Amino acid sequence: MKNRVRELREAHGWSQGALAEHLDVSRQTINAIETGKYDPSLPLAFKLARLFKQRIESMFDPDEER
Amino acid sequence: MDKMSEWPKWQRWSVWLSSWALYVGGVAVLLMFHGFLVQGLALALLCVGLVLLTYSSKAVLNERMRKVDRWYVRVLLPTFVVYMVLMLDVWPMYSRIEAPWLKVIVVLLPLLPLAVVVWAMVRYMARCDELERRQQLEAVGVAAAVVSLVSFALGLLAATKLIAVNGALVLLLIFPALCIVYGVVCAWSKWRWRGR
Repeated sequence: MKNRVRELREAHGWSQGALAEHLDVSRQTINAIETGKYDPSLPLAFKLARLFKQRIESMFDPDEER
Repeated sequence: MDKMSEWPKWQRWSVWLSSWALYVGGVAVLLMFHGFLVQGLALALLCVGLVLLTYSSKAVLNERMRKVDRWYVRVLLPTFVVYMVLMLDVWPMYSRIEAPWLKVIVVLLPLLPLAVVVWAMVRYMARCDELERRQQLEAVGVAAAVVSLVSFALGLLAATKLIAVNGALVLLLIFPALCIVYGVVCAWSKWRWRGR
């Protein structure tokens, strides 16, 4: 699933580690989501959307595969 | 040490290699020498090695130690020391005990720290993030499959008397074998998912 996590993270000037710390997950989880290798669960996707003040459907596009 | 993941790469790898050296050194001293002081020194080496190994294994993958990781180390370290003391100093006393009920208690005492380890592992897995839980599920599955296949193969060979198997030894080795395969698969999985 394509997503805008990397774009939004970089816009905030955060490293993968910093974003991982905000969400209390590992850095490899953030990397796997950004590279489209892993699709987050709904709770984690909502946490990401809330953190970046975005609507969940504007962050994740289920129609596009990476 | 919490900031180890921000250290230069060579420093993180040096600590990782040194922690393995301390760990292997501790095991070697335990196996080769006897005596209270030497055992204490070996246990100290093992403990320092284990703590450094935990921190540096995370750091070489550019990961920081999270609250749950620190909790895991805090529980496992004293449990490991208790287990080693029980195995090295209390367990060998069983041959000098006459009362059967006391003998059973002394022989089964190492189960107590092992039960704490199992409880800590379950709690740790429940508090990991979702990708880590997936990696651990894979690792537990592979470990169960490998150990089952190997023990089944040994069973077939022993049943046909092609090899002689010490049943007590095999039963003792099942738990360490599960832990080792689980650890190796977990490490490989984390390396595969590490990213840049």
